[in-house]
This record gives sequence, structure tokens and C-alpha cells, in this order.
Amino acid sequence: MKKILLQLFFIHLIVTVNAQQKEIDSLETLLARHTVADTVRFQLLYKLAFNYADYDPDKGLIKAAEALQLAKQLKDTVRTGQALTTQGLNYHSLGNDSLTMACYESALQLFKKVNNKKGIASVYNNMGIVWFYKSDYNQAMANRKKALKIFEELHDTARIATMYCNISLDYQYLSDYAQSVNYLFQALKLYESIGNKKGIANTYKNLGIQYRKLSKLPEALAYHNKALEFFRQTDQTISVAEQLANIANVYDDMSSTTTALQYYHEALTLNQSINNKRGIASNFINMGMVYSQIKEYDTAFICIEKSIPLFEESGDKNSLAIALNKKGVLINEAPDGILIKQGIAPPQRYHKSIESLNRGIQLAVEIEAIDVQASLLASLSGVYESKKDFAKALEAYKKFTLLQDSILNDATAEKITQDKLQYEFDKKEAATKAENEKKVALATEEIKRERVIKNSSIFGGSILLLSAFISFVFYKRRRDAVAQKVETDFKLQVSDTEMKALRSQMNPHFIFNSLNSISDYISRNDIKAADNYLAKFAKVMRMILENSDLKEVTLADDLKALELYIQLESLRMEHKFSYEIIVDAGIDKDNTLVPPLMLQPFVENSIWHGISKKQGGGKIAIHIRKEGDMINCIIEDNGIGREKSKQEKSAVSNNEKKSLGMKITRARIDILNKLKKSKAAVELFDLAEGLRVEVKLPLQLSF
Amino acid sequence: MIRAIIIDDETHCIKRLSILLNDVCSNEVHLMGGFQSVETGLEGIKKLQPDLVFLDVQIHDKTGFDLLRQLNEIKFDVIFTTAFEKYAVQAFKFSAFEYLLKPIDADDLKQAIEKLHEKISKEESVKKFDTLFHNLQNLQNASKRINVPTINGLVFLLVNDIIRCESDVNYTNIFLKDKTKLFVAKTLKEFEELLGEYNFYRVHNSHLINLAYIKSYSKGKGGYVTMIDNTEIEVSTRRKDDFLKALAK
Repeated sequence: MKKILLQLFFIHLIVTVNAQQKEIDSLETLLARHTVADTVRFQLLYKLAFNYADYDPDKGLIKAAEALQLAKQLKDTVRTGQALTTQGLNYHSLGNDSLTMACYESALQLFKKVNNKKGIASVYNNMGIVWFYKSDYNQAMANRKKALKIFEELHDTARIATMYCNISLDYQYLSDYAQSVNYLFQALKLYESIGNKKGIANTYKNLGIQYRKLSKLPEALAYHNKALEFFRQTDQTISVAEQLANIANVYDDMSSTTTALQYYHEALTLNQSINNKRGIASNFINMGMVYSQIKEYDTAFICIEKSIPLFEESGDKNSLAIALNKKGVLINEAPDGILIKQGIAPPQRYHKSIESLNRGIQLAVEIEAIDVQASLLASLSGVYESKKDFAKALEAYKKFTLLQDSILNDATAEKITQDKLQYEFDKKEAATKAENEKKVALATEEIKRERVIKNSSIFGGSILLLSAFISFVFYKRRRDAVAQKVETDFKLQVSDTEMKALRSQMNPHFIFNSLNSISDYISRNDIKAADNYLAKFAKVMRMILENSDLKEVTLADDLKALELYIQLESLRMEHKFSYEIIVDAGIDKDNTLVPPLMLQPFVENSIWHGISKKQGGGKIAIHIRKEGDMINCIIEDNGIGREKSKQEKSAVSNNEKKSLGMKITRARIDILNKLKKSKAAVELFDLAEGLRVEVKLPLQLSF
Repeated sequence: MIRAIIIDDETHCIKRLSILLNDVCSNEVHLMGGFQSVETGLEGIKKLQPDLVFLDVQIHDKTGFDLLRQLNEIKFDVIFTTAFEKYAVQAFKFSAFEYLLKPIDADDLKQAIEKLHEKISKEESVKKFDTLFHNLQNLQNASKRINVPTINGLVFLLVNDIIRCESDVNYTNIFLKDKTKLFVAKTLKEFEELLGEYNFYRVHNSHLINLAYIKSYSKGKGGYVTMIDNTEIEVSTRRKDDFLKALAK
């Protein structure tokens, strides 16, 4: 025979305080003292409302209302949500589900608005509890799984475990015991890992219930007693009453009727003291069943009739269906005298009985409670049998067998065993491993300790000293480097500007010297030749101007411009001189960078002051050589040489111009050396005939 | 005989060029007239139907390009003349147009006339003008087009389609987005000068890459870049710092 059992699972998730009378008293005292309307007062009201939910929901509602008002006053969305949640909780304790849900819905909206995940999850769980008591286990589970997902995101182990327990309960009521037990063992594991005693106790309680369902009564009793012991310690009246009822259920199953009744009465007294309507209803129905079993029909009827309106009031369809089942059976079994006392005429016996059972079946189908349905069908079959309506009896019995099979087939039983074995194995293994590791670690530690103490003081000291020294060195070096870099950067910038200025000075120098050449040419030639010469000169000038814009050009480009310039001068002097430009094979002209126009002033000097004044043909040889990490640009002419040149033009004005190009070039080389930290230089050598200039530049590659 | 006209807003330029033509290639080019504005130039072209137009870039407040745009069909060769317009020179180079810098050098003129003998097809000619106009309109952006000489004639490319260029002695291989490769009779240096302003960077003596198509850069002595076509290009040690600066831009 199935018995009703009520697993009140009041781990409402907002606050984890233990619901204790003592705590309520101390909270009330604090509240009386703290009259300022602030968050502290809110917290007190809120905790009180929460704690009252289990003891005195009417008082709880008053506190919740004040908390709500205060939170709104403070314009605190989260606290408003929390207040609404406790309000819902108290309504729930009073059995008013529609108001409860309204509170929870509003709270959920608020929490969602500010994305308070913990709040959202809590409300989902609480909604799950409401659905659970309305016997819509699918809805209950859906809500709790939503909450579970959020808690998993938050890595909130304790609450994940609570969700496991609650979901297990849903599965149990949906008659999927395998899943139910599975979730319970997962929860137990988590609770043990974090040492949550209350959680462990609740899980024990539920395991007790499960094992009772599987007819493993000694285990069931053991688990329930463990849970009871804990609940008594923590003075949780409602849970104690619940455990007493559960233990009574088991004793009843063991046919220890007297012991069972003792426990039921104890539970009922506790429940009545706290006005726990659900508990009271549950105790009544269970007692009704026991009394009917021992054929105390009068008492049985009283108990059952008392429970039914309570279940109707609370909307607990599952329990109501069970109560109707019991009532139907009772009507069928009771002697005529008892029936008459209950206002039922004996000929109406079967009709009334079947009516009650059918109403129960209808409810059970509605809430998909298969086990309750099966039990009702069994009863129905029995009634039809008594009525001698065997066809209908058989029909009901067939339906019953079908359902019974689906609840407890072999596979389900096997899976439960497996889960248990798996859990125990895991637990043992973890324990052994931890133990071993501890031993090894202790032994090793002991050996190490002595040595470490001795060494570490010496070692630590020297490390400290050394690191202080090293950090100082590094600090100094870094500080110096930074200072130096700032200075260098500044110098580089200055040099760069100077360099640019010098390069731009080269342009007027070149332009005016060119105009000299042109005017010299025009004075000696016809218009057409002069025009041709001019066009060529424009070309050279374009190229040289373009190059002078750049910091560096390739040696190839620089030499090309230089060669064009030489060709032009050669044209002007009617090929009075020949020239050659030789670049050593070791130099890649296209990949070597030089400052533009470094050589031009020296070539110009050779032509104007060396060769032009010479009788007969002249020659200019330009030779680019690689010397280590330098390139040496040698310009050799066979002109009249420096001495003679000086004498000849001592009276001539263009001495100035000649020195200008050279002066600029020397200045450029000085800055180049600063910039590149190189050893560029210009050296002049007097030859037996003519002059030799060596311009040494750093070898720079572009790639 | 090539029948030519000159369009230039300055009399002395027309005179000088006509004297030069007479001196350098009188038996090749027959000069039919000179015009000093876009309007008179257009009329001259319609009336004389020349084979060749020497076209100045800046003509009063208009340009030679404005003149060309007003023609439905360009049935003659054009040699542009200019003193300094850098943007125009850039555009000529991109479109593979002949141009002469003023004052015009006789040797350059001779060369330009000689090149006219390398006749190109009508379609190519149309594309050349298209490229020129397109580039003049898109002076700064990368949708610029470029005409490159290959063994199969001029090929018209979008600068944007070039992933990288690799030198092969005096030739250059161009690798395109569509995974084709072009072998071009120009040095890598010439491409560097052309494309340097358009987000191209020469990371190595042999490599010019489009910075827009770098997939990743791996550190090393100089390091190397991986392009979107998964080729790995070495970065010269000397170029590393400057290259990283260019990348940061």
C-alpha cells in the first residue's frame, strides 16, 4: 500500500540563516532598536520575514510588506526583488499560490532588469517549489533546471547541490527513480565536498524516501534517522516533524503499526504547534491509512476527511489524489454502521467509492503521477471485485499492471544499484588517495624541514643582498640609458635639421654654378647648340634637385646624376677632357646608400679649377672602392693642381664659390659622423700632376 | 609621315617644339599647326584629324585631360608635355603614357617619336586612356590602375590586386590576388617608385609587398611576413625598424 509522504524541502535560496526561534527573537530586538529607515533595517526585516515563513507566515507577511516599502523608498531594485521574494515565500507558507506566483513574477522582472543572476536563479527555484506543490512536476523541474544552469555559471557549489536535490524530487514524483537517485548521489557528493551538514541531512532524508520506495526498509530507516538526528540538533521544527512522519511511514511498511502511530502523533503535534497545514494534512492522511489498516474506521474517516480540504486548499493534487484513493477504499471496506455515521447510505457504497477513486485517477492523470494512478487503479479494481463487476475489475487491474511495470522494471532497479556502487567506489577511492598523499607528504616534509630551515636562512640572506645589488645596478643603468637616449634623440634631431639646411644650401650653389656654365656656353656657341645644351641642363638639374630632397640615395642614382653633370661640362668644354667612373665589383650600386651630391662639388672643382685652365686634354677618374666598412670615393684629375690654381685666381672672384661647396660638404660630413657614429672624412692629396680627393663614407646598405 | 599638332598655351613653347621637330625629325613628323586653348585645340583636332597631338597639361585654367574628356573617341596618339606637374607625371607613368618634360630635350623627343612606331591595338589604346582618366580621378586611393608591359602586350591592373612584386634581375614578377603571376619588363626599383605611395613597401632587395595583404609578421633577425597567399617573404635586417614603422601607420 502506498502512503503519502511529504518532503518539505525548504531550502529557499535567498538567505542561508537557520530558521530558529532564537534568531527571530534576537532579530526582533535588533529591529526594535534600529528605527532608521536604511539598508540595515531592511536587512533585519528581510531576515525576519524569511524566518517567519516557516513559523508564522502572517507575521512574516507584515515584515515582508514593510521591507518592500522600505526597499522602494530606497529605490533599490535588488532589495525590492528580495522583499517580494520573501513576501511570496510567506504567501506560499499560507498556501496562497496565486499571490505567491505574483510576487515571484514581479521579483523576477526586477532581478532580470538589473541582471542579478543570483536573484533570478533564486526566484526560479522558488517558483519550482510552488509548481511542485501544485503537483506540476514538469514545470517544477523546468524552473529548477533554469536555476541550476545559472548556479553552474556562478560556480555556486552549495546551490548546485540544492538544485540536484530538488530536481531529484521532481523525478521521484514523476516516478523516474533512477534519475532521482542519480541526482541525489551527485548532490551528496557535492555537499560532502563542501562539508554542508544541512545539505547532507536533506539528502539523507531523500535517500531514505527513495529506498523506502524501493522497499529497502532498513536502509530507508537508517537514512531517515540520520536526517532526524541532525534536524533535532538544529531545532528545525518543520523538518523534525517531517522526519518523524517519514520514519512513521517506514515503520508502517514494516507493519509496526503502533510505533508508526506514535511517530505520526508526535509529528502532528509539532506541525499543529507551528500551524504547518501541509504537514498536518500529510499526518492526517497517513494516520487515516494506518487506522483503516487496523480497522479503526471511525478514526480513519475522521483523519482522511480532515486532510482532504487541507489538500484542496493548498492545491496539492498529488496528496489529494492519494487521500481520495484512501477514502474510496475506506468506503468500500467500512462496515455499514460506520458508513451511515459518515452520511453514506450502504447501497451507495460502491457508487461513492468509485466516484472518489475516479476523481483521484483524474487528478493523478492530470499531474502525470503514475504511481498514484497505479495505486488508484489497484483500489478501483478491488472495489469492482467487491461489487462483483469482474469485467471492470479486470480492466482496471490490467491498467494497473501496465503502469506498475513502467515504474519498476528491472532496468530501473539495476541502474539504482549501479549508481550507488559507483558513488561508493568514487568515495572510497578519493579517500584512499587523499590518505596516501597525506602520509607521503608528511614524511617528505619532515625530512625536508630540518634541511630547509638551515639552508634557507643562509640562502635567503644572500639572495636578498644580491637582488638588492642587482636591482640597483639595473636601475642605474636604465636611468642612465633613458637620460642618454633623451639627449641623443635631441642631438639627432638637431643634426637632422642642420643636415637638411646644408643640403638645401647645395641647391643655390649648384644652380648658380650651372648658370655660369650656361652663360659660358652661350657666349661661345650658336643659338641652337645653346638651346640643346640648356635642355640637357634642365634634365640634370631636375635630377639633382630631386636627389637633394632625399637624405640618402643609392650610389647608382648619385653616380648617374654625377655622370650627367660631367657629360654636360664635357660638352661645354668641347670634350676637352675625358672621364671614367669605376665601381669596384665588391660594391652593389643599387643596394648602397650615400648622402646625395657629396662628390659633385669636388668634381666641379676639378673641372673648373684643375682642367679648364690646363693646356691640352684632361682626364677625370672617379673610382669607388670598398675599404672595410667604408667606401672610398676617389676623384682624381690631371689638372693644374692646387698651388697653381691658387696663384692664378688670387685676383679672381670665384674663389669664394669654390670653397662654398667644399665647406658645405665638410660640414655635412661632420654631422654625418655624429649621426651615424662613423668616421667619414675628406682628404686632399696633391699629385705630381693634378689633385686627388678621397671622400670616405660609411658603407650603408639599403637591404 | 606622322601628321601632328601642338596644343600649348604659351607661344614660345609651341615655337620651340616646332623648331626642335624640324631639326630632329622633319622627315618623320609633319607639323600641321599649333593651338593655344582647349577650345581651339578641339576644333583643330576635328578639322585636321592629326595622328599625333603634343598636349600640354596646364592650358590656362584648364588641362589637356579636360580636352581629351570632351572627345568621344581618341583616334590619335598623345605625347604630353609638362614642366613640373608631379601628379601628372605620376599618372603618365601609371598609364604607360609618353611624356616630355619642358624644356624638351632633343634626344628625349627623338626617343618618344621612335616609340610611336610600336603600334598598339585599338582596345589597348582605349584602355590606356581609361586608366589615365581613372587614375586622375583617384589620385590618392588604392583603386588606382596600372598598365604594365608584358610579353603579351600591355596588361591593365588594379593596384589593389597586387599582393607583391619580386625582382628577377631586370624583370619583375608580379603576384596577383587571383593567384596569377605576371612577368614584366620593368625593374623592381621602378615599381618601388610607382607603388611606394600606395601602401607598398620594399622589405627586401628582391621584394616589394602590398602592406594591405600581410597576414602576419613573425619576429626574427629581420623576421618574415606571411602574405594572404601564404607566401613567406623575408624582411631585410636593415629594413626591419623602418618596416615596422610603416606597418604601424
